[in-house]
Amino acid sequence: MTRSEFKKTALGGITSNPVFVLVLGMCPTIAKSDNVINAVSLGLCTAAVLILSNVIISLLRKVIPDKVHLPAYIIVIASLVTLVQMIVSSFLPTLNDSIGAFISLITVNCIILGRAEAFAGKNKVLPSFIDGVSMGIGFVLSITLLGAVRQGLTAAFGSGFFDKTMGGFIVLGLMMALFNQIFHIVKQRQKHRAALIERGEP
Amino acid sequence: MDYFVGIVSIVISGMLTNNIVLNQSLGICPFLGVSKKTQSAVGMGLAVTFVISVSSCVCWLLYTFVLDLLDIGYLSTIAFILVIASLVQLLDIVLKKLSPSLYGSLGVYLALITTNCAVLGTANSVIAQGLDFFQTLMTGVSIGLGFTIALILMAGIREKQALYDIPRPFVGFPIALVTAGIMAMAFYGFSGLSFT
Amino acid sequence: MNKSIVNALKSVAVLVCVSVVCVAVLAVCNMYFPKYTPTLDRATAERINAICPTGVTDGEAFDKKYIVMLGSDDHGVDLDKYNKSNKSKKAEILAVYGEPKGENAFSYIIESSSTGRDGDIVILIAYRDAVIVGAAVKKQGESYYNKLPAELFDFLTGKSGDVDLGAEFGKTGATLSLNAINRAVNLSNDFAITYNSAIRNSMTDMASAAETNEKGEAVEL
Repeated sequence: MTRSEFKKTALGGITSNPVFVLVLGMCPTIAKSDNVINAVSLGLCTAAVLILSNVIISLLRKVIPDKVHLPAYIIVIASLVTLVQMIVSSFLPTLNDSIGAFISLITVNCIILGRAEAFAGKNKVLPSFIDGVSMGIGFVLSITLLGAVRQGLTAAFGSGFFDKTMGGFIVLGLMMALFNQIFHIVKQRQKHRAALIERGEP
Repeated sequence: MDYFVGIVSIVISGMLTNNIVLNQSLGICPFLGVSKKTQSAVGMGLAVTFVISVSSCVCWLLYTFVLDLLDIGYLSTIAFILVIASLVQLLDIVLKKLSPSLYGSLGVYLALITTNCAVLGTANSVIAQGLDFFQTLMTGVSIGLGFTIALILMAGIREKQALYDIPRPFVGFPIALVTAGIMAMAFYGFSGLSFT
Repeated sequence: MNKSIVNALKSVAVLVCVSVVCVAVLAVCNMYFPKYTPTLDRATAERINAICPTGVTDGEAFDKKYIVMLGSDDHGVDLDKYNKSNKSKKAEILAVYGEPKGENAFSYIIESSSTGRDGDIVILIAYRDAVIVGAAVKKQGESYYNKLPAELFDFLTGKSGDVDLGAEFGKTGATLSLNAINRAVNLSNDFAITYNSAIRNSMTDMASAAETNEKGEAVEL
C-alpha cells in the first residue's frame, strides 16, 4: 500500500463523508440524532460493526464465490449486529432502552453493505480496516455534530420540534447546504490558486 | 366490534399518524432516492408495499412457529433479513418476466429494497408488539401504503421544484431534506387524530 | 460433473459454512452473556415510596430497608420460568420488591415491562393482597406518551385481575403505548394473584427474622 493510497483511504471518512457527501445511512442519522448521547452511542455501534464487517469480509473475499457474495455479506453483517445487540443488552441496559430498536436496523444501514461491496470485497485486510475506521469516524463525527446541533436547538427553543423527525430533516438539510457551500468555496480557492501558479504569480 | 375498531386504528396509524417515513424516520434512503419522478415513485411504492406486507407476514410465521418455539429469538435479525432478501430476489425475477417496462423503470432501486430499513423495522415492530396474524398483515399493508403516499407526494413536489431556480448550495439533497421536513410538519398534524 | 453444477454446489457450501459459523458464534455468546437483572436503586425506591408510602422519607426507606428487593430465594418463584411460560402475553416480570415494615407493611411492588411504540415501557405496580394500591411508570421513551390520559395510573388503584385500558380510555392517540401498558399491567396482576401468598409469606418471614434479631441484640446488650 503506497503512501498516497493510504492517505486517500484514511481521509475517505471526510472527503467522501457517508452522511454529508454520499448521503447514506439517513434513517439512523435522522432518527437517533435527537441528542448527543444517542447519536454518539449509535454512531459507535455502527462504526464497530462497520470495522469488523470490513475486516471479516476482506478476509473472506477469496473464499466467497461472486454469485452469492451479497447473501454472504448480509449474513456476516447481521451476525455482527446481533452480537453488538447482545453486548449492549447485557452490559449497557440504559443504552439499550434508548437506541435498542435501532441497533438491529444497523443491518440495513447502506454504509456497511456499501463499504463491503465497494471496498472490503476487493481489497486486502489492512486497507479495509483503515477504510472501516475512517468511514466509521466520519459517520460518528457527522451524527454527533447533528445530535449536538439538534440538542442545542431543542434546549434553546423547547422540545417538540427539533427533537422530532421533522426537525431532523430540516436541520440536516440546512447543514448539508452549509457544507456544500463550504466545499464550493474551498474548491474555488484551490482553482484560483492553481490558476495563479500557472500564470507564474506566487 | 372492538377488534374491527382496532384494525381501523392500525390502518389509519400506519398510513397517516405513524407514517413510516415522515414520523418514524425509517426508509429515508429510497424516499430521497426514488422521488424524482411520479411514475417511478408509484412503482417503487407498490413494490415496497408488497415486500413489507409479505415479509412481515412471513417473519411473523417464522418467529411464532420456529424461532420462538425453539427459543432462538436472538437469531431473528439474521432470519428476517434473509427472508427479506429472498423476497426481493423473487420480486426481481417475477417482475422481469411479467412487466419488463416496470422492471426497467425501477432498475437498481429494486435491489435496494433489501436495505430499506422500513421493511426490517416493520417486521421487528410487529413481533415486539405481539400482534396476531391478521393485524400483522394489515399493519404491513398500511405501512406500505403510508410509504407510497409519502413517496408520491414528495415526487409531485420535486417534479415542480425542478422547474425553479434553487439557491446553489441547496440543489439536490438539501432542498429535498428541507421539503421532507415541511411535509413531516404537515403529517405531524395527523397525530392529534383520535376517535372514540 | 458439469462445471456449473460444481460452482453452484460450491456457492451453496460456502453460504452454509458461513451461516453455520455465524450461528454457532451467536449461540455461544447467547449462552455466556449475563442476562440483565434490575437492582433496587435510590430512584426506584423513591418511586415506590410515592405509590406505596412507607411513612418515612425516601432516603430512610432505602437505607433502613423499608423497601427491599425480593429474589427467588425469598419467595421461591423463578421469574425466568414464569416469563418463558407467559411468552405469548408479550410482557415480562422484571423484579419483585417488598415493604416488610412501615405504613403499608406487607404490600409488594411488581416491576414489569412491555414494548410500546419506541421501546420498552417499564412500570411499577404496588399490591396489597393482589389488589392494586398504586402504580407508576419507571421508564419510557414513547413519542406520544403525553397523549395518554393523566388519570391512567389512578384508574388502576383498587383493580385486580384482568383490566382493559383500551376499552376504558378509548382511542387516545397513543394506542401502541397504551396497549403495552395494558399488557404489562395484566401480566403483573396475573403474577400477583398467582403468587400473592408466597410473596407475602416471604415478607412475614423477613419481618419476624428481623424482630428476633433485634431481640437477640437487646439480650446481648
